[in-house]
Amino acid sequence: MSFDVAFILSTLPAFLKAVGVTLQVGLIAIATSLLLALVNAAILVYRTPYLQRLVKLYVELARNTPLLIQLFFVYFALPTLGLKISGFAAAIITMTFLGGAYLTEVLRAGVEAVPAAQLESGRSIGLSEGQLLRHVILPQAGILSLPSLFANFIFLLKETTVVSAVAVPEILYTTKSYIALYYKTYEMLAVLTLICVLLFLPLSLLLSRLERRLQHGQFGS
Amino acid sequence: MASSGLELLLVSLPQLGKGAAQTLAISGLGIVFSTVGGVLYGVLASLNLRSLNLLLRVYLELFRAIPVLVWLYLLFFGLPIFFALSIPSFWCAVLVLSLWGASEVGEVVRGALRSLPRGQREAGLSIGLGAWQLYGYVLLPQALKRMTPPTINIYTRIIKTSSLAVLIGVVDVIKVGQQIIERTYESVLIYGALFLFFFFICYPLSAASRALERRWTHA
Amino acid sequence: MSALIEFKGFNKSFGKHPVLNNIDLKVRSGEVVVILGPSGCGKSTLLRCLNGLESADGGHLRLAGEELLDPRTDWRQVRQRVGMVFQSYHLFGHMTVLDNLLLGPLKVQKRERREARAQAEALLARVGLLDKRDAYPRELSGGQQQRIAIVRSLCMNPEVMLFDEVTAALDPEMVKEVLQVIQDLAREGMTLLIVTHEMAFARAVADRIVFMEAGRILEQRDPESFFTNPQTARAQQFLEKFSFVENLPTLPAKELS
Repeated sequence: MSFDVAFILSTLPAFLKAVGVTLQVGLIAIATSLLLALVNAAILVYRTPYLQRLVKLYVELARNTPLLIQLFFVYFALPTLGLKISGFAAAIITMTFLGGAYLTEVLRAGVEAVPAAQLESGRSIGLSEGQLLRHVILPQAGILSLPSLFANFIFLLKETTVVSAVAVPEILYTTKSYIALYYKTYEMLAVLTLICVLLFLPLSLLLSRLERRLQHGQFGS
Repeated sequence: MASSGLELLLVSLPQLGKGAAQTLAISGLGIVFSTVGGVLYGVLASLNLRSLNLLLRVYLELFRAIPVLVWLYLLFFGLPIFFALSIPSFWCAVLVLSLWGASEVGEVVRGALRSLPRGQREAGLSIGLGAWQLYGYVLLPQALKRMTPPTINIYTRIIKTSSLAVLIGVVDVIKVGQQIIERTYESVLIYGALFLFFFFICYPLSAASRALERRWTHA
Repeated sequence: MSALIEFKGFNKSFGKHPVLNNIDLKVRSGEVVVILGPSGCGKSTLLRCLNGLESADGGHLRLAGEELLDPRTDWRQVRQRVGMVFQSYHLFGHMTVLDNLLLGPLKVQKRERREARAQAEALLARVGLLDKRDAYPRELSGGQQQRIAIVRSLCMNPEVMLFDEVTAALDPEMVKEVLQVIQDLAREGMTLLIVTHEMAFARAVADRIVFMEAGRILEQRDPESFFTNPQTARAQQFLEKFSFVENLPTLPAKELS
C-alpha cells in the first residue's frame, strides 16, 4: 500500500481552510448557544410563568431529536415555505437550536446544584435575593457548571462534522470531496483522522484534567 | 392541505415502516452490543490492572476524539482498503454505534462500580466468592441503580446518532422520507414527521431516566 | 500441640514503608488472641494478611501447617476457613438478611439449601435476630447488622474468626450486644483473633494479649499480667490513655527493644 505523501502535502492548504471552517461554525455555535442558554436559564430560575413552560418544551424537543433531522428541516424544508437559507446559516441556526437546549440544562443543573445550605447561610446574614443570586448562587453555579459546559462545547465542535451533509466545507466535507475527485481514499482518511486527533484529543484530555481539579476543590478530597 | 398531508402519510406508512424498521434495528442492535460491551469494559476497568487500563483509555479517547460520523466514514471507506473487507453499510453503522456506545456505557459502569464502598468487595472476597461471583452477585447488582439512568441517556443518544447511517447509504427512515419528498415535494410534512418519530421514541426514554434517577437517588 | 496459625519472620510493606516487621506469632487451636496497640501499628494489616486481603512481602505464614505464602495458594479456599468481620459490617444491601447468610454456603460451598438454611436460622436465633431474616440491612441498627455479619461468616464453618475493630463504628449502647456474641464464640472454643480498643472486653475474653507498635510485637502475655503489670514503657503509655485512675504503679521500665 503506497502512501502518496506529495499528494497529502498538496492538499494541506485546503484542509487548513477546512479546519478554519470547522472552528468558525463551532465557535459561533458555542457563542450563540451560550447566549440562548443564559436567557433560558434566567427564565427558569426566575420561574416566569408562561415562558418557563415554553423553555421546557423547547429543551425537550431539541434534546430528543437528531441534529441531522433538524438540519435537513431547516435547509430543505424551510425553503419550500419561502425561506431560503445557505448551508452555513442552516448549520449555525440548527446547532444553536441544539446547543442552546443542552447548555440550558447544564446551567439549570448548575444552579440547582448549589447546596441549599449556602442559600440558608446567605439569607441568615441578611443578603437580599438579588445579592444572593449575584454573590452566592451564580459564582458557585458557574464553577459547578464549568466541566459540563466545557464538555458540551467540545461536543458542539465535534458535531460540526454533521453539517457536512449540507455542503458546508468543514473537515469531513473536504475529505469526502477530495476522495470523490482523486480517489486517494487511504491518504485522505489518514489526514482526517490525524486532524481529528490533533484537534479534539487535547480538548478531551483538558476536560479530564479540569474535572479532576474541580473535584478536589469542591470536596477537598 | 392538512388532510392531503395526512393522506400522504397514511399512504406512505408501509414504506416509512420499512425504513423505520431499519432505523430501529440499527439502534436496537447498537444498544444491545453497547450494553454488553459496556459492562465488560466497566468490569475490566474496575480490576485496576495498569496495562488493561491503558488499553481501555486508548480505546475511550479514540472514540471521544474522533466524531461518530467520521468513524462511520473511516469504517465504510477504510475497511475495504485496509482489510479488503466490504461490510454492508447497515452493519458498519451497527459496529460503529456499538463500539462508541460501549465506551460510553463502559465509563458509566466503571464509575458506578467505583462508587460502591470498598468493603463490599472485601466482604464478598472474605466469604470465598470468586471474581465472577463477586461481580455477579454483589457488585453489579448494587451498581445497577447508579448505572441505569445515565445508560438510558446513552441509549437515547444511540438512537439519535443512528440517523447518521443515512449518510453512508443505509435505507433507513430518513432515506425513505427523502425518497417520498423527491416524488411529492412535501418536505415540511415528511421532515416534520421524522422529527416527531424520533421525538416520540426518545422523549419517553429521557423522561424514564429522569424519573428513575429521582426515585433511586433517595433510596 | 502445634499451632493452628503461625507467622514467622513475617514482613509486609506498603511501597517503601514497612508496616509489619519480622512478626513471630503462634496461635493454637481454640485460643483467643486479642491484639492491642496504637493506631497505625499494623494490627489490622496483620489480620488482613491472614485472609489474603493484603499480600505479604516475606517470611512465613502457616495455617494448620500449610504455607500460605505460596503462589499456588487458593485464597478462596483459605477464606472459607478463615472468617473475617469488618468494622463497617458491609452486609450486601440489595439482599435480605437470609440471602446474605446463604450466599457463601450455597454459591461457594455448594451446600444443599435446606441444610444451609437450617444452620443460618439456628445461628440467627442464637443472636436473637431470627425474626429479621427477611429484612434488608438498611432497616436494621448497626449492632444488629454487625451481629448478622458475624453470623454470615460463621455460616461458612470457619476454623478461625478474625474481628477487625468490629465495635468501633457502633453507637455505644450497641457495643455490648456484639461483644457478647464474640464472648459466646470464645466460650465454645473457637479460635479467635481480635483487634479492638475495648480494654475491659479484651481483659475478659482473651487468653493472650499481643501488644504491637510500629509493625512489631512488643509484648505477648496473658491479660491479667499485661493490664496490671505491663513490661514495656510503650505498653504502659498506651494503657495510660485508657485509664482515668490518677496513680498508676510506677515500675522500673524494662525496655524490650
